[in-house]
Amino acid sequence: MSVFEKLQEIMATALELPPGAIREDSTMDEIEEWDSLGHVHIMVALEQAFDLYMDVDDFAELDSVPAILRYLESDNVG
Amino acid sequence: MKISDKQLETLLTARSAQALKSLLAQRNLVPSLAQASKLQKHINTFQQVRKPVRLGIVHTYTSELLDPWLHFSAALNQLSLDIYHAPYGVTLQEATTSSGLAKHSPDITLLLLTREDLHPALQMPAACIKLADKPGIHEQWQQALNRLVSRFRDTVAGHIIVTLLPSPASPGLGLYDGMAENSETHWWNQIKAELASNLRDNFSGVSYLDMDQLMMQIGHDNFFDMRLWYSSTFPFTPDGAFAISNAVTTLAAAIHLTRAKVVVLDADNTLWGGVIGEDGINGIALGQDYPGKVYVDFQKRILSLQQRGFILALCSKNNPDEVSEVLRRHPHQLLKDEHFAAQRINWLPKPENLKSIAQELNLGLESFIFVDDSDHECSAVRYDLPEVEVIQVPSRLAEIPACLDALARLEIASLTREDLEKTAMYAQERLRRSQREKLAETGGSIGNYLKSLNMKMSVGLDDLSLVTRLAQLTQKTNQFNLTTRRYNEKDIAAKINDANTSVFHFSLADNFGDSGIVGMAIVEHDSGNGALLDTFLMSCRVIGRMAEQAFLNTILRYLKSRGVEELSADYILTRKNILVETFLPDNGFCQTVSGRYVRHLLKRTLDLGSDFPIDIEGPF
Repeated sequence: MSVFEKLQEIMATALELPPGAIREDSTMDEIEEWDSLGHVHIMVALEQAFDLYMDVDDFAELDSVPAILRYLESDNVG
Repeated sequence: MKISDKQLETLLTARSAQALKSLLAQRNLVPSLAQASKLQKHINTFQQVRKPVRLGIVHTYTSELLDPWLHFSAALNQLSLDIYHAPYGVTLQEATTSSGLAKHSPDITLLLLTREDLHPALQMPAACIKLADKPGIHEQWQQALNRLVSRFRDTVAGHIIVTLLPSPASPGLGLYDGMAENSETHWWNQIKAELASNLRDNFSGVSYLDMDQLMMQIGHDNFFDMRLWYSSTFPFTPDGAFAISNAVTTLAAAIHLTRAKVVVLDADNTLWGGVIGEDGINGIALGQDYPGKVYVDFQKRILSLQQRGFILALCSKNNPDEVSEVLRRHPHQLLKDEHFAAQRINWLPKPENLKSIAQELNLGLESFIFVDDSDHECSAVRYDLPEVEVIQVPSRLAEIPACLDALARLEIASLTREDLEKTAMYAQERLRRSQREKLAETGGSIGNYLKSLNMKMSVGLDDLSLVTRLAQLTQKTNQFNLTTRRYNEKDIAAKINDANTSVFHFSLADNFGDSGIVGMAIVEHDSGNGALLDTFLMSCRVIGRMAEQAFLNTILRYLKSRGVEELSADYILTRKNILVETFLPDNGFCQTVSGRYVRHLLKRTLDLGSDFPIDIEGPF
């Protein structure tokens, strides 16, 4: 499973959406369910799935799928 | 603890929500969000009916992030939640009849408060507060709390759960705090104790849920996520959120599911290790060393269940003498004869024994929890008596003492005097039965037996101090109940305060003991000379002692003295109250064309006769 597919599954569960609703270029602005609460759910789920401990200052910057993928790859996860 | 992929596979083989819940609880497992969603889907495949419960949350910190955990733990407790979150930080404004909360009409209202909501001084480190100022602060926060809770009590009908967030910071005085006169920890414990006693004394249907207790189980650092606290005002880690959600939904289940009443215990490998018939009294494991210690600890937990008001019974395939020798003589056996309201020590199939215990105690099997170590006995009971909840004693010894801890139906939202004395009352009933049997052997009649008990009934009216017990009677009485109308504490208080409604109750004492409050009736007066018997019920504990005639007669006399000429009454048939089908016609009520019964109070005498076996004292 690619990092994106794993991320897609995690985000879909956290936002209670079908996986197809999460695309490789989705951003927080486009997805209604991805509000500030949804964002916290995604961050918590990411930490659990990739066994991370993220800095709270990173939370705000991870506002799109490309940004999250960049973050995960920079951390060499997946 | 995190759930590994292998553990998740095991969890996904569970076949009931209870089984899943106890697996999670025994290993202290906390699912990730993704795992919770998988497990929830798995629970959805069970053919179990879930009771819908409406939850309203009033909060001064972010609460919406609890939702996935609340829904998941609700599913574990066989509930489905409809959740309303009040606007952030709004408390008193939600306690109005036009608020979103009132419109949601919650069954349970959860108040998520912080300590500074009680008093602004509690924002500062406790060590900064002068000792001399503390009494004044206590008085002020208590008043503030009472104002807040009574406003909510007046607005919403259901149960209210009050919580206070523990301090995310460690005590200001550090390691010295436990020793300090101005200790924050000691002060906080004092505040919580006062808060609980205040809620107990002044409100009904209000519980305090101690978050510190939940935090202690998983640890402060596993409970708080300071990143989320600073960035989103959400204080909890997933572990913390799950612990709180579990506690809230377990309490909700305790309030809304059929209450358990009886815990039936096996003996061998349940109360002690080994088999008494083979190992003998000196060979069974029960004592200060492992593995005997495990069983001593389990017996302590079982004793505390009795303190919560549950009835204990013993059901074991053994020779009665050998088991009774352990109960009487083993130095480490904590559960004695008097702790068991019923015992079946024989070689009959256990389902048969459970049925006869149910008959002896006059309680339905759906209120039974059966605890046994054997696969065979557990499946026999599950198969023959699906209404009984079966708990198999874990095979890992260290897990035995806590094996009943996660059961929602063994949680309680309140404790009445009757709860605490229940087993003693059933033991008295055993003595009455043996007196009756003795009298019958010598040719005495049932009348002689009743006379020999020297019964005294005390009837009272509109007593607000009994609201909890009276509500409980309407909730729990199924058999001797004419209308089976269920009322909560708020309903009962309103009826007691209503001048046009009379709420009667009685207790019955005899040579063997006092029953406590065991019967009640509600009479609605109309504007003329008529009245309606809305409720008439009696605990099955006093059935067969003519208490119902005495109680009805006292009520009729009272009504007559108030000028009532005609009392109407209904009998509403349910699956369980066939016992009282003819109670109204047997007691002078005539059925009218509409099906309703009527009794005229002027036409007939209300004299019970000098031979009546009960002395009645009423306040009127």
